[in-house]
Amino acid sequence: MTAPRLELSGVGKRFRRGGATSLQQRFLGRGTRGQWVTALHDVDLAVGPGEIVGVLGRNGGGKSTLLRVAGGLTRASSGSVQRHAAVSGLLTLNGSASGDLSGADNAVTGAVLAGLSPRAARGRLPEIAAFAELDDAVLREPMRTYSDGMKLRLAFAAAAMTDPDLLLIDEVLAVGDIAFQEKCLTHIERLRDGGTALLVASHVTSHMRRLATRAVWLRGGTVVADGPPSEVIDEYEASLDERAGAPQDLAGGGFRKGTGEVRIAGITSTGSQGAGPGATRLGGGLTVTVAYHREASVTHANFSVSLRRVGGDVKVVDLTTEASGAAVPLADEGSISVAIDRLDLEPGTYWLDAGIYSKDWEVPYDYHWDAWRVHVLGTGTSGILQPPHAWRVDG
Amino acid sequence: MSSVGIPAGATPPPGVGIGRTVQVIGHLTAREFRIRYQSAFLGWLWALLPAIVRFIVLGVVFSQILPVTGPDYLAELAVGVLGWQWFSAGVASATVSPISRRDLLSQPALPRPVIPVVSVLTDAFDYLAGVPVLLVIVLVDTGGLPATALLFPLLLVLQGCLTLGLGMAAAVANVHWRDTSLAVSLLLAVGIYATPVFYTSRVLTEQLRSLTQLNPVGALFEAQRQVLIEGTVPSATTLTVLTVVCGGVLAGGWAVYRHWSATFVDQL
Repeated sequence: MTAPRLELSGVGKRFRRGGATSLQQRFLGRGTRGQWVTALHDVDLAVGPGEIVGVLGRNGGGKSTLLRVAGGLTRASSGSVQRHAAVSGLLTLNGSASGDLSGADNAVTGAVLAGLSPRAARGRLPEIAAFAELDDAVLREPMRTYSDGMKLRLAFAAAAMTDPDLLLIDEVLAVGDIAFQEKCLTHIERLRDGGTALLVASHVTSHMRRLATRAVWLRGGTVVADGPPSEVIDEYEASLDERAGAPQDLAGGGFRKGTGEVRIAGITSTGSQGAGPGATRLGGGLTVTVAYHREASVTHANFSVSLRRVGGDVKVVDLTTEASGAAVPLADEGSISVAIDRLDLEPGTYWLDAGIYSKDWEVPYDYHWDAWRVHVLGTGTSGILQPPHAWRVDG
Repeated sequence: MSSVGIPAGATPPPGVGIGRTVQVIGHLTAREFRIRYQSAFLGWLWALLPAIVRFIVLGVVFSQILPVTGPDYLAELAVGVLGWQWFSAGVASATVSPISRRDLLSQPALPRPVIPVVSVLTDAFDYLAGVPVLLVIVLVDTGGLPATALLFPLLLVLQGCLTLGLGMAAAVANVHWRDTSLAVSLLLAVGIYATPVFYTSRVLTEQLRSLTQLNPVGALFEAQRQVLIEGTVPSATTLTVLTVVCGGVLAGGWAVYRHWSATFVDQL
């Protein structure tokens, strides 16, 4: 094997959370000193030219911290990080774009920040534009006129068209529509085959299976498995199912699985227009309440609520507490509600499934499915959604 | 290809040489300037206009209310006001720069000191836009431009060093305690009166004058007035002390920033 471009040995990372965040707290002594959190523990890793090392793991497992340490964005608390090449990163997209400047202007800045000189970045502009599928006229427009999809395509193209020697990618592969995602994945493969060393973090295991030449599974900041991608990914996926255990029948119909530290006591739903429990009218809202009781000493958990059409496998709605920030603090008995302002789902019957997971999503405590129904009342059509609409006849 | 071993305690990512740093600073500063003025109808004239308006208003007001103003008061005022504008805007924007431009901190290929440097330089553009107005006022007020004015750019460089050094140190504090920027604004709001901006130290009592000489910003303005208006060269002692102080503040601020910026992303 040729010499690695990135070598991490025994890397650990700790930082303080919850300390004083203002001068007032600092000097009036109200703030605590905060608690040390270990985000990475004794991680060894090497990435050579033509390799893609995929980092797997649930949120909070240390993936992003690993990439930050590897890229020198933050200092490791212990161990050593050695980079033998200029490093470039796709860690956030579009953070630096300005709506007032043209797309071309922003693309050049994106490429400069990714490591090119301003002159080289301007030279790459045609390539960037072609990859992002934007023509010259569009590129001259201010970026604020772009759709979200156009912005993401341009940001990815600007950062990716730089022929880096060592590239770090954090969860940004899944941008844009399916066709553009495919293009990004192909580009990554081309970089790999051209000799770039890549470190990629993602929780999309299908991408990892395709791209990675080696996979590393991080849990709680520690490497659990490291080896050929198919083996590590199988192991990772199996662990998610295994922890949950075999499906068990629920007394009132439906199924559950999970480790049982926290149990779902009941799932209720109420429509916003007096349609009665378990029902809402077309265009109405829905409030879902998940009651739980705690069986073991767990302080926080994440909740998920999803809707599936009866007879279907696809979740048409999938809401998690993760999206709204932190995990939920638990009581011995309690409940959590999510209010959906407008459902706009096609009239019909849906399964209302809910789950309770550990803070890092690694452990499913309890997941109930096919047990609770929601009826959307109204006149049905053959679609999935029925957004508010009006027909107008002209002439 | 550079080969750089980075133990846990070291900082800069490789591929980040002086040349790259300068290029990125140039690119980002030009970009900030375009963002600031491109969308405005009058474009970059907006950089010029505030300076003109400010000189006129302050000149009229202060020459009426201050008891003792010298014959070149308007020119002295212009030097002070323009200088303070850059100093305070630069320190304030550098203080918040790691937070307002946190997007830049997630770029591995970007040297971190670039962030406050770009803030201070962007504000320097506003200063430079005001320089023609300043020169016209000096010409009109004093009837000429002395040869010692050649020293003026050097004093501006010193002012830039001082501004950047203070801004970098304050930026580190602000990342850890977010109300630092409020404290900095307060200090700057008070500082404009404690510094010879609207007045020169000539009008002060001997006691107060020696006190203001401890203020490097004030000492810089006085030196700028000397070379631009009076046509005299500040004493070698003054110039040496100013250079040492401004360079020292920059070196100190830079070192503090370099050390702490390595873990900025943990705090954001």
